[in-house]
Amino acid sequence: MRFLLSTIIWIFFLGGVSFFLQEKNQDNDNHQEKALAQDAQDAQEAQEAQKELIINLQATFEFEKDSFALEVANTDTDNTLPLTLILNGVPITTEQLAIGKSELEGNLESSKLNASIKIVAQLKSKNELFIKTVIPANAQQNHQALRVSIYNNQQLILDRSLWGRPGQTLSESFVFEGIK
Amino acid sequence: MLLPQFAYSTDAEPTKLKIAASTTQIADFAKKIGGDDIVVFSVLGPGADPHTYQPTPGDMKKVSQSDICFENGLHLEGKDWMRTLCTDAKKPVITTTKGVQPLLIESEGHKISDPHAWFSPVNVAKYVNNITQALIEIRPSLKSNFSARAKLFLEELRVLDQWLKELFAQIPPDKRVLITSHDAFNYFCNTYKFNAKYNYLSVAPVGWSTGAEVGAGMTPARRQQVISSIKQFGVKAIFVETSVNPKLVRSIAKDAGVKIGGVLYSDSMGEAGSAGESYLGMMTENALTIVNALK
Repeated sequence: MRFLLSTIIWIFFLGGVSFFLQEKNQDNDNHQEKALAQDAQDAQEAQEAQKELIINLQATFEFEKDSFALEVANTDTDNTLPLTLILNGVPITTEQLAIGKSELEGNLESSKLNASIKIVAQLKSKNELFIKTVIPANAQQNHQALRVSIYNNQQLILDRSLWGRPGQTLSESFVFEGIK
Repeated sequence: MLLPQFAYSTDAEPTKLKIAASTTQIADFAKKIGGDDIVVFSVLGPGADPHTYQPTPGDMKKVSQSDICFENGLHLEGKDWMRTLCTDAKKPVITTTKGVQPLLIESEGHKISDPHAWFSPVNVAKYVNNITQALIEIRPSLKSNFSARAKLFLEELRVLDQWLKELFAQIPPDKRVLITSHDAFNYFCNTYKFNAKYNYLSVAPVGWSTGAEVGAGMTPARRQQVISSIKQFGVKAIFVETSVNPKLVRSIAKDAGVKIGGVLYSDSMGEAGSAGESYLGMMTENALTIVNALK
């Protein structure tokens, strides 16, 4: 009788452990399936988001060559331009700009009011754009501003203004969501 | 912070670049860019005069242990002693003022390029670019470190430049007269609008060099011109320099009946532990000394 009771308890115990392990494996499989599905969805979204990003800069001051720029050969950023742009940790070089370098320089030099920069970039759901420029020391007014408007797929997704004084550096990291 | 003059050959790790700089300013710039990736040796110590310096056998030994040499150029180093030291030791020499637009001084019928370019932070940006480029070329694997430190230092220079402009705006333009021991402050006067009556150039009893070069040294005519200027413009104070014997300026102050406004760092920086041991500190202390004396 004692042997029978012991056997029954063992059967229940081993059955319980077996059931628990089976359930756990099934959960893992479900998680993996979900993660794979999510990755595929993200990849599809990223593919869809790889469209034109337009950064409109409106400044109350002239863009000028920076006297305090780092000008050494073979650096990641193009220091000949009075503007630094880094999208999601990657410096935006003139090769990545949809418009050529000379046209960009022309925009920056000829018009203090508007420079439109088009970039074809693969956006994520959350993105970060770092922008830096310098207000020339000889700017006339005491306070100057730079308005930054970002359009993704022709939709305005960010509109901010930075304020500073002549001689100061304007720099900011903007976080924005990509349009699906 | 930097420059115990002979800290160079002590416990330097073999992987660290060894730099020989002619002046304390250039050693400071190199240290700001090279950080812990380099070891810097300054041939000149605090308060030393680059125009008249005579290198020692110890300098020769340290230069021969370096990977690269940095000189100011524009004949700041009298008889080009740094270039001679490094050429003799078969070490590459980088002229850190390359690209600076030099101010030309007329003296005894000659046009001389003023070598004291570091007195304008915009010129120091050229020094920084030249030093950074040289360090990257000799150790490309550390490019990102050198570039990142250089960018920070360039931002500090920009802030210094703006701060100096705002500070000196407190002195009425007609009172903004700077008279010093020797003609080291041309770039400074030009940038911050001192000495309007002298075309924004330096006024001093001793020429661009304290050595024996053309246009250098003290002449009775220059001494008399300084005394006349002090009386004509109602100058409140004149200044001595850390790297030049103060005797001459003190005698001029006595003859002209004007006070000594203070001591300015000029051709070399201050002792370790003083505010003037770094370039930013040296410029800050000079500016405050000038403003407090002339305001």
